[in-house]
Amino acid sequence: MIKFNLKRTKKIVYLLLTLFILPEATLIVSGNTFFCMIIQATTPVSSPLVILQNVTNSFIYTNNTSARVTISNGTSSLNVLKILNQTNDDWKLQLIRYDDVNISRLTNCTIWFHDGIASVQIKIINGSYNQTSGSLYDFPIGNDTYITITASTNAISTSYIYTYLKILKSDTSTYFLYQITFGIT
Amino acid sequence: MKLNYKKSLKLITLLISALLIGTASAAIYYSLNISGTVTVAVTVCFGQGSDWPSGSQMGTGNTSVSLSLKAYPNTTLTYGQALKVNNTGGGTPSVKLRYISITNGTATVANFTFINIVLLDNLGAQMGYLNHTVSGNYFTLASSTDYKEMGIGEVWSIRIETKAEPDASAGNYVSLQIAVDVQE
Repeated sequence: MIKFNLKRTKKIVYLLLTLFILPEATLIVSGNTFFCMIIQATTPVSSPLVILQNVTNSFIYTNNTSARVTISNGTSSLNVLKILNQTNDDWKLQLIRYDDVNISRLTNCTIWFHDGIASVQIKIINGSYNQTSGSLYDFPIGNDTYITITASTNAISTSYIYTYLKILKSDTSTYFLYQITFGIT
Repeated sequence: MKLNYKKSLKLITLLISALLIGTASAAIYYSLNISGTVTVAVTVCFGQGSDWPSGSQMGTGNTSVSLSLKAYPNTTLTYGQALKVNNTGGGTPSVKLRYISITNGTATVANFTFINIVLLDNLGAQMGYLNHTVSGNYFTLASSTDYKEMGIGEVWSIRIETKAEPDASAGNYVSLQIAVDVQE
């Protein structure tokens, strides 16, 4: 007859119990509820609602939604571009500078909108920005607005101001960005 | 205390047998013990944004939407708030954008520059985006954003930006399908 220690027997029983419980525990799963919502979108290419037109010294790219303006030293209050509203909505305009090259030679470069009332949008004095964008300018149904520029330099070279013409639909946050580059020789 | 070896062995054998029977029974029957209540509840849904594109349609229950977007040549068109994403439940679900499908591999695609879908939180901070840019006749696909947690009652929004190529022809169009996944 062999004598057994109770504590030892208990330990063996607990060990066996643990070994059986562990595999069962792996069957416990956790998860989250999940669903998806669908956005279906159709996107056609459409004809521009607002177009740019050359008045003078401007090159208009295909589809009339971007332009390059080239003017020389001594230009004064020259209408270079015309913006035409061909929609049935009121919009607002704003010119925003996003880059430039070699502007230190510009003693004065001022670009503004006008259709009678002037709104200065970009202003450089002695090579430094006084203004990199202007306030929102009303552009009602059937309206035409001009972009006008004055520029003077103190050295022979070429400067570039890269801008976006922001065309914002009134009372919304829907807007277009047209690229307009100004080159000053 | 002294124990009988045979008795101890029998006791252990009995315990093991009981456990085996119990485990086996559980393995067979546990899948039958599922019970629950299913209720129809939508905790996150769409809403029309302030830049809701005209001609768009909201689906039943506001869990699907058909948007009528536009793209213009050589200009970026931004719908600042095309859609709202409303957390109407009392919890804090996580949401993400996931690409499903887009017109691809055809000459039509070459008319486009990009279509960008951006998820914004209630403060206007960007929570992820799917930007589908074009190379030749193909869109470079954006697969999925990371899950972001919405606060209780928060209203997030979706901004959409489109751009067509400078020489794009009017009338060409692509179709895009995106999922907003919600994990509660």
